[in-house]
Amino acid sequence: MRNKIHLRQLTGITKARRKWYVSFFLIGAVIVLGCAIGIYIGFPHPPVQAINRTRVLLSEARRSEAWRYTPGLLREAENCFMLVQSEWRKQNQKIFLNRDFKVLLSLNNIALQQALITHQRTKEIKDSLKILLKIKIELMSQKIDSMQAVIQNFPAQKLTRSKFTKGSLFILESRLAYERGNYQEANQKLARTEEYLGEVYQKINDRLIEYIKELPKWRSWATEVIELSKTNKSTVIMIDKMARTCQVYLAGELKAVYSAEFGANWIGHKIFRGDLATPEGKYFIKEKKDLGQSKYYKALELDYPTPEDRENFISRKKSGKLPKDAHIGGSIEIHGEGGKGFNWTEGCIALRNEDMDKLFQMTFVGTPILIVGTLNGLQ
Amino acid sequence: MKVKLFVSLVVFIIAALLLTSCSKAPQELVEAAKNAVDSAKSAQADLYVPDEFQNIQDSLNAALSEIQAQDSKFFISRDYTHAKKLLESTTSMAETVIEDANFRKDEIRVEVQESLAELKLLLEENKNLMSKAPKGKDGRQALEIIEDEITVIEASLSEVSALITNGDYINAKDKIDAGLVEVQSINDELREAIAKRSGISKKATRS
Repeated sequence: MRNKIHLRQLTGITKARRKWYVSFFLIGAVIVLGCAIGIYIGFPHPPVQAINRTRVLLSEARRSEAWRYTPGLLREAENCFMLVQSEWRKQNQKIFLNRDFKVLLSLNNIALQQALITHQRTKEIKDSLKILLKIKIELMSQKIDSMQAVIQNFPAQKLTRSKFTKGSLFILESRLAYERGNYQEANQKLARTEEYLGEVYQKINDRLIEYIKELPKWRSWATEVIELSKTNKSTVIMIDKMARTCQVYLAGELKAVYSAEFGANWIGHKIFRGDLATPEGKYFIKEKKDLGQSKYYKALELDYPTPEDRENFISRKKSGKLPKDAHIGGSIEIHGEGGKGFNWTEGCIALRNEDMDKLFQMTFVGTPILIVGTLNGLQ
Repeated sequence: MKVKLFVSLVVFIIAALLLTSCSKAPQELVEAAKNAVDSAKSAQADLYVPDEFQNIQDSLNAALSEIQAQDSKFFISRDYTHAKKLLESTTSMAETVIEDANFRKDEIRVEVQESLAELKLLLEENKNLMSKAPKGKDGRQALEIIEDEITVIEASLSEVSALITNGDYINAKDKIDAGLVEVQSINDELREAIAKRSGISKKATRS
């Protein structure tokens, strides 16, 4: 007690004055706290909710596989959002009174718009791709089926056939990717299919266009032969390799059409033995072979090779276009045991046995036979 | 005495407020969560469990955003508790995602290996059937075409190997499955041709 009195005496602080100091301190603290709260409420706040909305929208865009369907748009939106975050960090580093979130808000608005566009565009692309691919895969599969029939009967080279098989594999892969919901992958595989089949189609088309250059000649032969049948009231046989038909005319009128099969290498004229080609030109029946007389059910043997065929063969051999040991072919027949659905003979014309029976009855030794590439062109 | 106690209390509260509010952003947790997400990506979680991977990425982004939001606050009112929880959950979720990705990957790997074995078996069987198939005028052409098709399918197996090496089992499976469809159709074709021929030869024996 004596010490306290002594201290008061030393510092000279009276009780009343001490109370005044405490009051002053408390009032000061309240004022400072009040000011701090006022400043806190008043100072600029970042657009947290808007930024979170952008973040969520960007996430939705990623979930809708924008990285797969609209990668450019997503990249732009993400870059813009990175700018938002960088600006936010920059502002956070400043003293709170110095902070200004106007630029941040503008940047976020742009990022939000970009995220929205990315999300919508991804959805649109994905939905339209889904519908489009379903149709395209179906159409391409049908195209492959029809091309399969063509390629089976077309003397295509190994490379062309390989490309066709590759195309067929890719369409299967495209279908599998589609079923998995990966439309981008399905689209890429479909593009590979189109690429391979396009090449195959081009090869076939080029060869056929080259082949049908002789169409006017074939048509004139056909007119000539039908006229002959009309004038002589006789039977003529007209064989169309591309249509795979054997037509029978009597007195200039079409009496019957049978389906026919030829040599595997049916495009072009027969040149030598073993070329698997069926000759083209005007011939006649040299010999009729009934059951037991032919290797293939019944047969009508043609007068191939004609002197013209021989001349052609010799000139080619002389010019070096044929190997020295090449021989001219022969024994070309219209025979039975056809109906296999593809070109398989070594150069003969094969009909179904029942058709062969009918043809055999309608024809004689000397009946003219015209063999042409096509009469209808590429139709 | 009472006044003294009151002053001490006010000073203590202010000091406590200052101390708790000056807490720093959980940088270590951020790094751990980022590393966990990167590890999930390395485990190809984005390829095999894409939705789960997106969940952890969203969780990480939400945590980073929360930290930024807290950084923006007046220093006495900063609170990183929610951010910490988000980061911790991201890290633990990432571990599950890695496990799930590895599990899914293993599942597909097994499927791929089984399908590949089946494909190789069918290819071998087709080669055997080719030796039994009719080789007449008509058969020879068809066999040549089949041989070419088999060559193309065998060549596609090397692409499958490359995909497996890169860990892309999904595309490898598509390639194998497509090959299986083709090889199966060749197998059916060959069996049909052989059956047809044996039917003809039986008929011929009877007559």
